[in-house]
Amino acid sequence: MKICCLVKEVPDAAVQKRIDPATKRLDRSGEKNLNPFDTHGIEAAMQIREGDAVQVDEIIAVTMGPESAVRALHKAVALGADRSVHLTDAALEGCDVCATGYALAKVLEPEQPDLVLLGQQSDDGECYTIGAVVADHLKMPSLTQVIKIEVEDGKLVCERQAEYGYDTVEVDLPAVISVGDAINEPRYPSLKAIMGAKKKPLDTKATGEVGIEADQVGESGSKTQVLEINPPPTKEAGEVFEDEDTNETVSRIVAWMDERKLL
Amino acid sequence: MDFGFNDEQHEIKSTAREFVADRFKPEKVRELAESETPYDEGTWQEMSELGWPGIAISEEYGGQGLGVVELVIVQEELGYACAPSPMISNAYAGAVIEVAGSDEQRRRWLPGIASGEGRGAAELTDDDGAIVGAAEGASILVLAEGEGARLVEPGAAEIERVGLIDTTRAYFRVSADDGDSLPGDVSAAVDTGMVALAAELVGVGQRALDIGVEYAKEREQFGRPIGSYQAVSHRLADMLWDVEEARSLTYYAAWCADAKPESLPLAASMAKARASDAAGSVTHNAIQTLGGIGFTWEHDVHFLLKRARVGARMLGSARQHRERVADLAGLGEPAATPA
Repeated sequence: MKICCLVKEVPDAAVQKRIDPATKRLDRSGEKNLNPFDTHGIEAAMQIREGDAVQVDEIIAVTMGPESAVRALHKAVALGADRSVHLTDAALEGCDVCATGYALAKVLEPEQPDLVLLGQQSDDGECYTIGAVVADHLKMPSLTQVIKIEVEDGKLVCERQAEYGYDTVEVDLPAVISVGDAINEPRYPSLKAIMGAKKKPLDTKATGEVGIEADQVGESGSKTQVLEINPPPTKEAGEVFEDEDTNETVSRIVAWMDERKLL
Repeated sequence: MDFGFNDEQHEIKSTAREFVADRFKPEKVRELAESETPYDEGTWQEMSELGWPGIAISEEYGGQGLGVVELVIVQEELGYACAPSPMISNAYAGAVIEVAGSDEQRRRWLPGIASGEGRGAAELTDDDGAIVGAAEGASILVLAEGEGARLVEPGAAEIERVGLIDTTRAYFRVSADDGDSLPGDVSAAVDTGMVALAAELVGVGQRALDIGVEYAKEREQFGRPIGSYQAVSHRLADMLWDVEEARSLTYYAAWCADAKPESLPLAASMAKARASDAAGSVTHNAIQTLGGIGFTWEHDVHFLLKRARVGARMLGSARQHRERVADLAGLGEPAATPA
């Protein structure tokens, strides 16, 4: 089995997120890190490899991003991937989720993975949708919010979180699976793995090398356009009940809730 | 010229920060500090699997073959969490044996120290006499012997726990009549130990600074955050200056240990002196910034103050190191290594 793990470089969690008013995009300057949600995808791949249900021949970390995204790939291989692929090209700047999904699918095509794993969301854009877009382009089934994966007879039996509980779903391979953060606890990279990360193969690809059509990517190739950015509407100030007499305060709170049919 | 960490060092720092933040949460530190067994063996095993105990030990002896800079990176993060861990005592024991031990002593003891399975514990002197960190459960003890050091197996020693104000770590007095003397000069290892301790104190100071700044932004008096008043903000600015200066000197000393050993004695004493003073001052000022809540047992900042006070006395006080700096700078007779 060949597993590809989609990973992303995101601003470090400690960095205050802000929108650049000039570009209307997220300001991604400052300290960066591997998207923490994607570490669950890598860990899931490692656990499939370490299990005895199927032989995993290769785990490949794949990203799309600027030159600096190489560090996210190094971390991904330190966490267990065997090699990595970096799609980087100025033409990709400004891609929305549709264009990004298309570009990632084009990088994945020649790899012919049996399984594509990724985190449920990125820590910056938080779209939750990239897995489904990639799967659509690759013509593969897709599952989201998966918190348990078992390999049985060349298929996957997955448990996924839903609003009403859990779904257990059988999926044919190849498939694209985005995993929830409840699926596992990612391991930490050892010193040896960190020091050896740069020695593992890294393929850098430009758009032309993987057959990406120029009019399908970048800001002009994106299906969405950000027209305006506004802060969320401010909430009305709440009502404060001063607690001078607790019995009376409780009665007032109950009356207030009753009036609004909250009881 | 780039004075920053390289990619791997950044990754080590990031991993250490995440691991320590998760395994040594404040409630866990408090639980361990209030228990009879202050080290969590499971966490030590995890640290061992990551390779931390042997970070600065040669690969030849089962270590990671990295340097003092990498050791300092991990120690700073452990200090930030005030982590109850035998790491520094083990690392110091490894440094002394590697620097001053015979080939046979190195072959016998370093693989266990590097893997974490056969922990070492080393004497960290203070003004009141020798104390040994994490002696209980160690496989080999490294004790002072005049200007040098000797190895003592735990079975041949009397080990008694000492109740210091820092309860986040276990300290012991160890007495033993005999021991296996190390033939070499230990001074470079002692300097390395000072730098590792300085890094831990920088971490302690940074945490106290962060606690103080966060509180000053949130706590309001007279309708404004207290940090907007100069009496508070100037104190916080001084704390930042303390931490940054101590950090710069510590990183420089770590670099000297790896790349310019002839400058290590001076750099190590500069770092230890500044970090000792800085950690003491910053933790004190954090408590002052917090006001009443800072004086309570419920707030964690007192753990930092106590760790800072004890760490400042280990391997020489700030005053002793300033004297050594003056001597090494040619302002007097050369001083003996304060250990």
